[in-house]
Parts: sequence; structure tokens; C-alpha cells
Amino acid sequence: MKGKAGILLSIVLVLTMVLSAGCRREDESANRPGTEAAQTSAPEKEREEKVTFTMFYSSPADDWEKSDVYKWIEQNLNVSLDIEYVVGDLPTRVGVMVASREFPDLVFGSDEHEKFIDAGALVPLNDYIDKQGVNSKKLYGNYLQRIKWTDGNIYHFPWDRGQQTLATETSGFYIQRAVLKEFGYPKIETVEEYIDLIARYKEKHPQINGKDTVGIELLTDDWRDFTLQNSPLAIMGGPNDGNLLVNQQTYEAKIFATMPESKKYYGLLNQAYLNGLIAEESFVNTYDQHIANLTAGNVLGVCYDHNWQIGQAQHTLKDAGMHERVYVAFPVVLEKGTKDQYQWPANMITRDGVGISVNCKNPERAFKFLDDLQSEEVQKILNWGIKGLSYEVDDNGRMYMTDDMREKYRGEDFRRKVGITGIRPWPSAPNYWKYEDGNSWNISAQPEEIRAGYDEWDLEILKAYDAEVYADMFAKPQESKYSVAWDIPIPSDHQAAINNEKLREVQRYHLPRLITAPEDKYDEYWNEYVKEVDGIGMDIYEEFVTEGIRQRVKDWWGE
Amino acid sequence: MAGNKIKLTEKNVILKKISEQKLLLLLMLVFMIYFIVFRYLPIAGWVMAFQNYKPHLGFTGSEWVGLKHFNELFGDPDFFRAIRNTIGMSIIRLIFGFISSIGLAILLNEVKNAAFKRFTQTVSYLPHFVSWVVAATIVTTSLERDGIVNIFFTSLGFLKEPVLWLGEEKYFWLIIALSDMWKEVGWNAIIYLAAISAIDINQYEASIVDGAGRLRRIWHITLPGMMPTIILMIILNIGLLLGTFTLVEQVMLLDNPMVIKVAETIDLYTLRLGMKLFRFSFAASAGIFKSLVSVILVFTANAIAKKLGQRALI
Amino acid sequence: MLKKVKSLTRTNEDTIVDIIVYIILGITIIASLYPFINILAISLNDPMDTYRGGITIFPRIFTTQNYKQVMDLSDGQLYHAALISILRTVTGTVTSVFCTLILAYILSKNDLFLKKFFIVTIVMTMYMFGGIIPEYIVIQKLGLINKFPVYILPQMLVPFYIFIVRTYIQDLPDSLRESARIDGAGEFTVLFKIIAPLAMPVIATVALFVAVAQWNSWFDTFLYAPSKKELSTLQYELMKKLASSMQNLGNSRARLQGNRSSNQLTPLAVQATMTVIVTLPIVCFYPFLQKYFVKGLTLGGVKE
Repeated sequence: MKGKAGILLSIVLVLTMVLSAGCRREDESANRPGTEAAQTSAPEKEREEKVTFTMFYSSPADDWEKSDVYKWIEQNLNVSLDIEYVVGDLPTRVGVMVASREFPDLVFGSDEHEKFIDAGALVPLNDYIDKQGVNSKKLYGNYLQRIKWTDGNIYHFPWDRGQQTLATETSGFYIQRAVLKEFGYPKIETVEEYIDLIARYKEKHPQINGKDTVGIELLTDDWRDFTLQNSPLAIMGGPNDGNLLVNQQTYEAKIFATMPESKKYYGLLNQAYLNGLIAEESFVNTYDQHIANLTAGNVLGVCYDHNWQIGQAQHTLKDAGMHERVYVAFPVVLEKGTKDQYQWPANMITRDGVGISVNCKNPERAFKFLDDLQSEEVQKILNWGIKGLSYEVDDNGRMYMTDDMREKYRGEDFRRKVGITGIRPWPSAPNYWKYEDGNSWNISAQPEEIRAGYDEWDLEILKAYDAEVYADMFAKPQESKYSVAWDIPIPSDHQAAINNEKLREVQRYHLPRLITAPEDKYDEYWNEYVKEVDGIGMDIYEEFVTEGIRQRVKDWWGE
Repeated sequence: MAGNKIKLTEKNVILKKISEQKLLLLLMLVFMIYFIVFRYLPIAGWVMAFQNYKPHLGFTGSEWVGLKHFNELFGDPDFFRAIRNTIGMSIIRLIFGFISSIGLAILLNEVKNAAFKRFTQTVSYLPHFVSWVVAATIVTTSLERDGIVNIFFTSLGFLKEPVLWLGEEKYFWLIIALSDMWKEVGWNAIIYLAAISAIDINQYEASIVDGAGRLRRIWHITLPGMMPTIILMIILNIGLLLGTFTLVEQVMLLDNPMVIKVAETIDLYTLRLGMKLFRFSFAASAGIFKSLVSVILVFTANAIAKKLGQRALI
Repeated sequence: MLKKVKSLTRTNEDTIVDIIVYIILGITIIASLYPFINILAISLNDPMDTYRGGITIFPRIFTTQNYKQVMDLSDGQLYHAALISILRTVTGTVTSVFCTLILAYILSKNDLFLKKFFIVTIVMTMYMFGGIIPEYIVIQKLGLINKFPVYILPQMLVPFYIFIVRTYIQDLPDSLRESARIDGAGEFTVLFKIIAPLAMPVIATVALFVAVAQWNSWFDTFLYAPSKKELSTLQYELMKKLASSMQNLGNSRARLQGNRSSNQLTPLAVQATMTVIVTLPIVCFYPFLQKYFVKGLTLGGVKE
């Protein structure tokens, strides 16, 4: 096949497959791609075996259908995919789809996923799992109980958010390597110690690379200010529960926004600000400006951030060869002796995943496809790529990358070509799980691969803090009985969700105001803030989540 | 008898008019159908403002809630703050935008060198094609503590200390207006250039012979020649005082926690408490309010223009 | 004769006005050229390095990889998308300008029957929106989803342009129309033979506005034909790249600790590259329209 003829032929073939798959609703088909120009000249055999599914994929991604992984799946599972990626605003697209009831065969809705379930757009998978879910039963096991929706049905298979590995930090108080080295790698346990260390370094080195030294810069651009809002929970030793502190005995959820610990913490930041340790730009800068400032090398610390937000700065600093300006995270707490929970408990996030729509004409086949994807063989392909291309296996059965692969893997285009870039919507175990042969679920969790990425600085620091990997500098994650509080689905137009949005806005305005409060004004500002928060009526939100958590614990553990 | 006759003749005049214009009216009918189908039919969707509209239940299946959403809207002080912010920003934006683009068109008209004129005109509209996302990074970096604006003002001695321009409420509206002017002046001037090109060349020649200076010619020929277009633009733009899409985009990219009290516009308010929470009904109620006020504003502006003896829209 | 006029009228005022004009235009040129030079520099700079900030006029680490990666749409998809973009721009502009001209002409008649009603009906549509979902349902009921006309019809008549053209036509001397009518010319003869040639500046203006809107549009593809690959446009494909680069950025967590990432497309780099790719054709095509509204007809031209 060459040139135009080849393209034409392949179009005809695709159209035929689309038609023959028949996995779409008749009355909608006129509005769907391909069908109006239907042809019926494909070989009989192909028509029977090969299926094409249309799919809605809520995340924008490069054309995954051109990757090696996709080609492997197409050949081995006999399924072709016609994926619609979302380029614009997701709620708009989902709203339109739900209103017009034009669903493709497979649906992955991420943040808007519940809209599909509310709309009755998804097929319950319970029976399919019972009858033909060979791999899903094996992969999820007991977790099948947990992926049930509130009505007791299973509508989707969760994907891997890739947030937790057993090797890297998830979040923390970041501080430059140079500061640690200067003071002989001290232990940093409390907020006060952290601020003090930065103050001492700043005094010693008023300038770095010809620029004035900045103590701490925070990130408050748009939605990214959630780190500022959630940080009190981290220093109180709470788990990753968003803006709620959950009592682990009674499961009562309370917002911590106005708790005494929060007041003390923001008060410490206010003191630091008055002492000239926090940059005023913190509250004005965009994310790009923030990253640009961090990569200039003269900002000593970032008060609580998540690994994936600061990661960009870390990579850029290393690229620029400024190894002593790279940041290290610490599990800082408010009171000495508090056990930290910075490393999130190993929970599967269950609120979204890939499901089969009611418009799908061949749900059995679609389910088989999803089930096939959950076999360990296919999971390895999805997560590690193709053997010989992106990984090798040594004599002990350990999966690894050659130096050449590691070098190539750094490049976006390579990962894209292989098809192991970005988040994939497919059913997957969390990346800290292991295959039967002991290999980690994906590349980024394999200890050998993590160690291979360390430079001398990393090794020196890890040695100084007596750790194998950075995660060892944190307390071991604690199992939670309800996953995390923000995984409890709240209908978006519920008053609880509205009030939560209002709390966000109040905090967005008041927290910077508190931190930049003039001397003696902190208490006054604090009272104004508390008054506004109290006026929202957050009890509706607290009660809703409490109810959800208790229900979950009952469903999952029978308590 | 006589009265009847007059009525008859009036009727005849209308009938005659219709028969004379029948071709035009027929075409007009087609255009009207277009507007009804593409613009007025969707407005039927406004009923959702009186419902708890859920896309999967449709207009017929959603629960009716009467004026609940309007009550919520008008009971929220944040909404009135948003109205104040939107109108404030829009008016400043409008004034800067009008003066700058009309001014640029006149200045270009004063350039004798044709090549320079074309070059300047082409260059001046380029920022229009730079999306706000990119333009905003240019604005924010120029306004940084060690950005070009602070360097300029401190080196000239206007400022002793650099100012964090985007962090102060009092500058925010001005920054919005000035950055919009910077980005759109060349593009908006195109309409006025077209208006100027319609001015009769003989008028200029006559005034030269009369010994009029250049400023007088601008004042007495160029400006009056542009007046109908200027009036039209003012009337149409007054209806946009409650916010446009570009204003939303611009504010969203330039605001920050320090200025949100003066930055949130009506559209951003509806985005935050409406669309973001999948509350189409709430968003629709704000949309209806916006539409009604806009229409009233436009017709008022039109009436004022008429009173002032200008050629109005209607 | 004209030369003489010039030398006679050259006064101090002229000189002062000239100085002011050139100073202000000089500032305008710098302020307008800078953003474009800036994005050109960013588009030619190493994307990871751009994160360090400080790129102004020249790239710091020169690379053409941004263009290579953004333009990397295999299977001729890019050409097909560009073709659709051109097709919709040409078709959209021609139909839109044609209909706008006719409608504006009709509305410019002072004695038009029900004129007020027509104008009010049209003006109101500028400020009233039914919302995205109701609009989608109408388009769906019309059977336009995933069809090419969905790019043309919904924004075929823009009231704003109609009134600009109408105002321009109203300003043309009545005598022209009258004399033609006396000669027995029909409405369309008057419109296309007499009015249109004189209204070229405003027609060119509207054509420019419509063409640019069509060329830049991606939202209608997103809304009305997101899964129809045959109807994907250049802008839509580029938006896809942009969205994808944003996602990859958020997903940097999936990368290994300590493992550096090279030649990654970053949102800013894609934005800059996109802007250059999309704007260049407009700038190249622009002079053909520009000559209509920036002609040397005015005083300056007379004098030279």
C-alpha cells in the first residue's frame, strides 16, 4: 500500500470495521463518524473477528493510536479504537454529550465521570465480571467491593493516578540541597526548624548568583493554591484528606481551615513574612513565574508543595546543571513528635475509570476487551511498553531499561512513540503494586530504575539521612479504611459542593492576607477570616462527607 | 368619509411600498428565519433558569424551581461586587480602546510615506493574533519587581522603590484596560481606517486652499467623517459593558489572590458557582440578567444618540 | 499644481504634527512588534530552558524541535487539517461577506417596510445567548453535527458586521443610487455595480474579520465535530497538541525521580509555536486586503 491508494484503502477498511463492529446505536449512527460512507467490501473473516470501539477519553493526549503499544493491542486483542480526546473544556463537552445522549462505546470521564453515571449512560458491569471477568477478578480481587458505586453497581475499572510510589516523596516542605549541606545535613522536623534554617542560610548568603536571596516562595496561582489551603493538615500529621480532618475512630470529618493548628501555622508564616523570609511575589506570581524563580536558584525553600507541581523546577534545575539548587522534601510537622503522614496510604482511587456506555451494541465484546487489558501480560505492555524497545528482562526475571533506553526515555517523543507517556485511561493497579514475578507495576516504581536516576548529590543526601530512596525520609504510609475523603463523590450541584467552592474562595483571599498581615494585625485578620468561614455553613459539607465515609467503611469492612 | 379615504391611502402607500420592495422583503424573510433558527430558538433554553436543569433529564424532565436561582443570585453580595467590577473594568477599557484606536487611525492617515504607513499598520495589529495566554505572560513579566516597567520608572526617577503592580487593587483595572489597549489597538483601528477611506478627497483639497492647518483638518474633516462609525461602535459596545469573552480570559490570566475582590467579573462569578459545579440553571439565570441589562443599555444609548442629533442605530 | 500647494502650506504646525505622529507611531511599532518577536524567540528556544524565564528577543538555546514536534502529525493528517481550514475560511468568508452585504444594503434603505422591527430583531441577538447546550440541541436537530456546514452556518451572519457595512453604505452619496434608479437599474444592479465597488474598504474589513475568525476557530470543531477526523482543522490539531502538552506537564510525576526529561513540549512553547504557524499565513495574505482600506487616497497621497 502506497500513497493515496493506501490511504483510501485504509479509510475504506476502517469504515467497514466501524460498520461491521455494530457497536453503536442505530438512530445515532447518522451523526457518528464514518458510518454515512459505509462500505461492505472487507474480507468476511475480518468482519467477524476484529472490532472497532469508539471511545471518549476525557484527558487530552497525543494520538495514542499511533504508538507501538496500541499496535500491539490492536493485533493481539483484535480491537481497534476510535478515540475522541477532549481539547476544550471538559464539563462543557460532557454536558453536551449527556444532553444529547450521544455516547461512544467506551467512556472515560475522569473528573466528570459521575455525570455519566448520573445520566444512566453506563452499563453495570457486575454480571459481566461474575461471568467472564477472569482477569478483573484476579487483578482487583477484594478491591472489587470497593469500586462499587453508591447504588451497589460497578460501572468502571479505576485507573492508576501514578501519585504514589514507594520510592519518591509525594509532598513535603522543600529546601535547597545547598542549605542542607551548609549546615551538615541537619534533621528538619518542625515548621520552626525549617524556617530557622532558611533564615540562617539567608543571613550567611544574602546573595546567590548575583541575585538577592529569597527565603521562601509559595505557589498561589489559580487552583494551585490548594497546597496553601491543605498544608495545615500535613503538619498536623493528617492523611491526604483534602481540606478535612477525619477522626479515625468516629469517622467524623471536620474542616481544619479555622482550627487552632491552622492559626498557629499561618501565624508562623506571618512572622516569617514580617522577617522578610517570604517573598511577596508568592501571591502574585503565575505558575510559570514561580517555576522561573525557583530555577533561578536564589529561592531557598517552598513551604509545602506536591512533588508533581515542583517537579518541573527540579528537572529544569538539573538540566541547567544547578545541582546544589535542587530541592529536597521533608515531612515537617507543627509539634515535635507528631507522626507524619506525608506518604499517602496505599489507596485505590475509585471514583472514575473506564466504563461501557449503554449505546454500545456489543457490550460482551467490549467487556472482554477491558478484561483482556487487565491480564498481567497486557498490563506489562501498557505500563512498561514493548520488550526490546523500552525494557529488557535479566536472568533473574527483573525488568530493567538499558542505559540507551533510559537516555531515550527522557525524551517526550520516545515515550509518545512507544505509547507509555502520560496517564492512560485503562484499568490498572496502583503503581506500587507488584506483578506475580515481583516486578513493580510500572517503570517509575521499579527500585532499580529509581536508583539509576540518582546523581552523586542524591546519594550523598540519602546517605546522610540514612535512606535508600527519598520515601524512606518519611513515615511509612498508614492504611485507611475509606481511601481518601476527597474520593467521596459529591453531586456537583449539591449544596455541600457549592459551599466547598465558597470556602475555597474565602481562603483564596484571606490566607495571603493573613500571611502578609502587618504587625499586631494578625489576630484581627484571623477573626475576620473565621467569621467569613463560619458564615458559609460548612456543616452541610462536613456532614455529607462524614456520611459518605461511614457508608464506605460499612460497605467495605462491614463495620 | 374623508377619514376613510386617508386610511385607504395610507394602506395603499404601505401596499405600494411592499410591492415595490417585494424582492428585498422576501430576502429579508429568509434572513429573519435564519436569525430565528440559529439565534432565537436556543433562547428557549432560558427556561432552564427556572428549573433545576440536569442535562440527562432534559427540559421536560427537570424539576421546576421558580425564581430560586434569581433569589440566590440577588441575595449574594459577591454578585453585586462582580457587577461593579465588570462595569468598572469595561468602562475604562472602552474609553482607552476607543481613544487609542481612533487616534491610531487618524495618525496613520497623517502619514505621507505609503510604505511606512502600510508597515506600521501591519505591525500594529500583530498582537491581536497573540493569544491572551501568551500575552499575559508578557504582561506579568513586564510588571514584575525587576520587570521592564519598574526599571523604566525607577531609572527616570518617577518611582523610588519598585512596585508589585499586579499585587495592588488600585492598579488592577488600569492594567486590564492598558493591556487590552496594547493588544487590540491596531486591530480595532482597521474599522476606522475603512471609515476614513470613505471621506471625500475633495474636502481636504478645498480646506487646504482655504488655508486650514492639519489639526483643523483632522478636527473638521477626518473626525466628522468617522463620526457615524464611531457612534455605531459606541452604541454596540455599550451593550458589552457587562463583560465579553476576552475580558473573562484576560482577567482569569492576570488576577491573583491579592486582587480578587476587584477582579471577579460577572462571567467569572457564574463560572465559579455555575458551570464549574455543573449548575447550568444558575448560570442561565445570570445569563438572562446580563442579556436583559445589555439590551436595555443598547436601546438607551441609541435613544441618547438620537437626542444628540447623531445618526442612531435604529 | 499640487506641489505648489504643498510648498505653500508647509508650516510649523505641519512639522510639529509630523514629529508627534512619528514619535507615537514609533512607540506603537515597538510595543506591537515586541510580543511577536518574543514568541518567535520562545518558539525557537529549548522548551525546558524557557522555564527559567528571561527570554526576550533572542533564543538562549536555539532549537527547531518545537516546530518539528508540533508539526509532527503523521499520515498526512496535518495537510488534511490545513486543507479543511483553508476550505472553511474561503467558503465561510465568501458566503458571510455576500450575505452581510445584501442584508446591510436592504437595511440601509430608509423607507424599508418594518425596518425598525428587523433591526431590533437583529440587534438583540448580539446580547442574548441561549447557552451552549440549547445551541447544541438546535444544531443537532438541524442535522448539522459532524457536517461541514456546521463551520459555516452558525456564524454566517454577524450583526456587528452587518451594521458596520450598513453605516458605510449610508454614508455613500445618495445621488449615486438615485441616478442609477432613474436609469432603471434593479436593486441588485445598484448593489453590485455601484455600491459594492465603492464599499470595498468596508467589505475588505469585514472579509478580513470573518476570515481571521474562521481561520482561528477551533471551538466549533470541539463542540460539533470532535470525533470526526475528516473535519479536523489546523487550529483544532494544534489545540490538541497544546492540551496534550499541558497534560504531560501535570503528569511529570510519572517520570522517575532524578531522571531528567529532555525535548519535552511545554505549553508555553506550543503556544508560541502555534501562534507563529497560524499567524504567518494571515500576515502573508494581509496585503491583498490591506490595499483596500489603507490606500494613499487621502491627503498624503495627493501631495506626493
